[in-house]
Amino acid sequence: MQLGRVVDQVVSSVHHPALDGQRLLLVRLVDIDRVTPLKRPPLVAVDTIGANLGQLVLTCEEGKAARQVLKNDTPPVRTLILGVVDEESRQ
Amino acid sequence: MQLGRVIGRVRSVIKDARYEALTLLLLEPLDEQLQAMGEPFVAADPLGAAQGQIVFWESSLEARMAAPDPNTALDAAIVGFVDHLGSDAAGALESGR
Repeated sequence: MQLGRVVDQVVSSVHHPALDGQRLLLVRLVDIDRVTPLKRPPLVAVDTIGANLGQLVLTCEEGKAARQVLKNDTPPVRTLILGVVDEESRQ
Repeated sequence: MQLGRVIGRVRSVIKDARYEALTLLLLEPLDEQLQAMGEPFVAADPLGAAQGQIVFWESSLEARMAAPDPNTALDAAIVGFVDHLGSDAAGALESGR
């Protein structure tokens, strides 16, 4: 799993039916300082918990997790937002 | 999934039989400003994307699930088209492929 910052919402009217009713967010992955963006493209992730713009979130790229969360045995998707990170948390 | 833009079409006569039902497109990965980021690659397109269309796509095993036959050998497939970035009233995606 990786930390990322929600930077936008993705609006789509044409998509695979497995995504019907789901909310898609654009997430920029960030370094351990929670600010510096990683040098890789942002993720389009299924929001399972109701994250908001600007929030630090926990992302997961794993097919079996997506199958469980979407309650679908064959979704063409493996990218999820699974939690909002408490910004006050410290190691 | 990641964002991508359709930059071309791949024509192939000699190919795996399961590719007959598929369109293959050339995509470039995009950042959140919709600027190209990374190397172009080939993806299956089950949805009928147009040249220049902004899409989101999935890689790896899950790409196969987007194909008509999930046993098709694939490592990237288009999963949806981006209407726009930014919030709308509904939030959740509506049905209607």
